[in-house]
Amino acid sequence: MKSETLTTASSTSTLASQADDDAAVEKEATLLDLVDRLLDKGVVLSGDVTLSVADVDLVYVGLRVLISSVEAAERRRNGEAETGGRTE
Amino acid sequence: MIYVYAITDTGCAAPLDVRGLDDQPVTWQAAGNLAGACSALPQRHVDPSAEQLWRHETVVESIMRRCDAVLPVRFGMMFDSEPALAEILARHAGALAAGLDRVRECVEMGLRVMRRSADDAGSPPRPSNHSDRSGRAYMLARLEDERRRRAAQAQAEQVGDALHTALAPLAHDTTRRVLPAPRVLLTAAYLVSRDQVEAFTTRARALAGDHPDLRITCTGPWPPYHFSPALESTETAHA
Repeated sequence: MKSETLTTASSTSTLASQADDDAAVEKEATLLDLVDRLLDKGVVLSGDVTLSVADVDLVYVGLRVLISSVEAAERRRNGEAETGGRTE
Repeated sequence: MIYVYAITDTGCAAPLDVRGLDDQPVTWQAAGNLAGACSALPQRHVDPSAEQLWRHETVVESIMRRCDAVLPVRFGMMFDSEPALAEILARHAGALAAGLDRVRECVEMGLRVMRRSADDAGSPPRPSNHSDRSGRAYMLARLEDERRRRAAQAQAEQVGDALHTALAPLAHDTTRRVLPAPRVLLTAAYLVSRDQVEAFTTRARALAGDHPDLRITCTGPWPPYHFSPALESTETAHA
């Protein structure tokens, strides 16, 4: 993960600890931020708008994927703590 | 097809050092005092894959770095020809010009607040170990669900209000959503002057220290997606 200095929209700072699982979650969170903006915000010009997936549905899908990843990361962390750090 | 990325002032329309979707060069379509950044695409459909989204964003950020005002266009906007794009820009010139002035010298900062544990209030209650199919048990369970939901909502609003109170003075405008998902207490966007970005992130960092039980993520600077104008149009069609 990049430092807390923010220079572009592709950098994300989690203002807390920087564990490996946090890094993976934050990478996915940044993609979700991107999806939320590009598919649901911004100027809508009239004309042909052709997307393969409906925009709102995709955002919901992204949120569900993100929540699942956070929970999966914490399960892995808790599992590693119980087994003394061994990989499951 | 002509794919559109962003709109800026004509005076800022200059060759970019980045390429657009499908590695196509980005060109400019002028319409009065406005200019739309665009590129050619042979197909009529664009898949919103991560790669394509990031390519779109890269073009818009490139414009944001060199121009004092940019309006990002939503992903997937295409026209049959450059004159068609020019006509649309001219039709909405007033709203687009006002939109550029609104975001001039500003960027968008994002904030997301999540619970750290899946066991916090808001998660569904675990099923009872005893089989109890009485109507009373069902109603009690539903009442408990509603209590937990309201408690989660109240907590999310309290957190959101505290963060908003702390950060809003540094922004020209804000938007926020409370509990957009079970573990996401708050998502918010702030229109911040470029010279206030450091102060904003410093304050957000301090807030994170005040709430160690939460995962507070600050993203940006983004182009001002949340603060772009809504144009009057009845011709937009979605796939």
